[in-house]
Amino acid sequence: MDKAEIVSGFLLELRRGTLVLCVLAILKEATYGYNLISLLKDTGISIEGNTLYPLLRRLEQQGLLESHWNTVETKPRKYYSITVFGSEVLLELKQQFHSLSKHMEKLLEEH
Amino acid sequence: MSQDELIERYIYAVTTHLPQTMQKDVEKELDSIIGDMLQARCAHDTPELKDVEAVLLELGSPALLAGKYCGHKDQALISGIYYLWFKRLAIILVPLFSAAFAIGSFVIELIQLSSINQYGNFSESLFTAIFTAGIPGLLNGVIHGFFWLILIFFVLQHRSTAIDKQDFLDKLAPVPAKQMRIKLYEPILNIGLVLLFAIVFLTVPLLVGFPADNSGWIFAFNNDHIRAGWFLVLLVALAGITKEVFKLYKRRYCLPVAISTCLVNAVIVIGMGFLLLKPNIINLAFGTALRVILQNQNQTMTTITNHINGILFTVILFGALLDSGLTLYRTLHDSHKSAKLIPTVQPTKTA
Repeated sequence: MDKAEIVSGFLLELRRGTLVLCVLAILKEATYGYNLISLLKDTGISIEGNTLYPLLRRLEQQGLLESHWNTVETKPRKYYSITVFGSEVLLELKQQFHSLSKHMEKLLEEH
Repeated sequence: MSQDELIERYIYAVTTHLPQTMQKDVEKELDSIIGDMLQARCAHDTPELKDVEAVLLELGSPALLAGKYCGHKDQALISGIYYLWFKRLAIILVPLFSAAFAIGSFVIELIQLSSINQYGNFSESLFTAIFTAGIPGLLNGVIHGFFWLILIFFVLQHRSTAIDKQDFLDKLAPVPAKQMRIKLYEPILNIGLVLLFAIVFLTVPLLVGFPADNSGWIFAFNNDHIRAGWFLVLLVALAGITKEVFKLYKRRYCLPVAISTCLVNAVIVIGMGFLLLKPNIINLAFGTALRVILQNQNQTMTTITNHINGILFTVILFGALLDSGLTLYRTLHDSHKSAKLIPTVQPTKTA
């Protein structure tokens, strides 16, 4: 296994861990799956559709997201948004993430 | 193949193995997602077949996507779609295994206890057999059921990772008409019945019979003859399970299913023929006891009860012919209908 492969494996794990946080943060406003990919891409986070759509469904099953079909437009689309419970989880996650990143930065600066 | 047909095939391939409660919603969602992806890719142009192919390749193989919808995890022992199937089969097969083991162990123990303690208390033997054989048999069946299922699904899940993830577009099968789809419960129920047959005939064939007033339990088959034909029972059971597993895998009536059904039914008929048409396979006392119960001693009834094995074999033969015939009819009917549906003008496939 070469260096690039090892780095890519670790990066994948790092991104996977923060993905839920990104999705919950963006879904304060209701949007549909494909648009969510574009919004994430605009912030520099790329995610494949086949990872995002099942993830949205899982978060919905956990009660963190809610969805509805918008049939007003010409093309029906499923819109996702964060629930009250999801917002509480997001707040907790954000605090934990800030604390973790602060400690990480300190650790990485020192070593 | 048209763009729409390719999309339909892809969506069907993803949703067909998902739980029924998810199917409709995922179907609608995927249709919407693919539409969005095509729109983003082609802007104001009409999407061509190559665009649809590119979008579907981006979404990945149907099996992988379906697995992700079911929570697939690479490192897990069994996860995703395999866990879903594991649960579906375990609900039916584990109780069946455990009941068969419990009844089998209980009956063997009861017969042994009764023969040792002929003049003793029957209810005492009954309770002893329940506690020393029935309950341990029940637990033994649960352990065996789970062990074999976990082993099979573990192998299936970890073998499938070797499948080429990019080579699925040409393999997408057409969406079958509703009546041509094999319903999920049918093969699972049949596997259960085949297992029940195998467990009873391989462990306690004495169970097949009925109680008579004066003579106790009357066995239908001569135990030694059935035991001598254990390999035929095993052959028939394995053939039957293979047929049903293949149906589960295909989930539609198609030529491979029709061919496998005909071949396996032929194997079942031959195997059961060798087993049932052996001389003295039926216990003579069984026919006599049956005539007493039916209160009919005339010549016709005597002939019928003396040839129960032949009648049983005829029923199996008729069932096999009916199953093969119906499967063939459905398959041919389906191909005939599909031939009508396929558009005559094929879009040019670009690289």
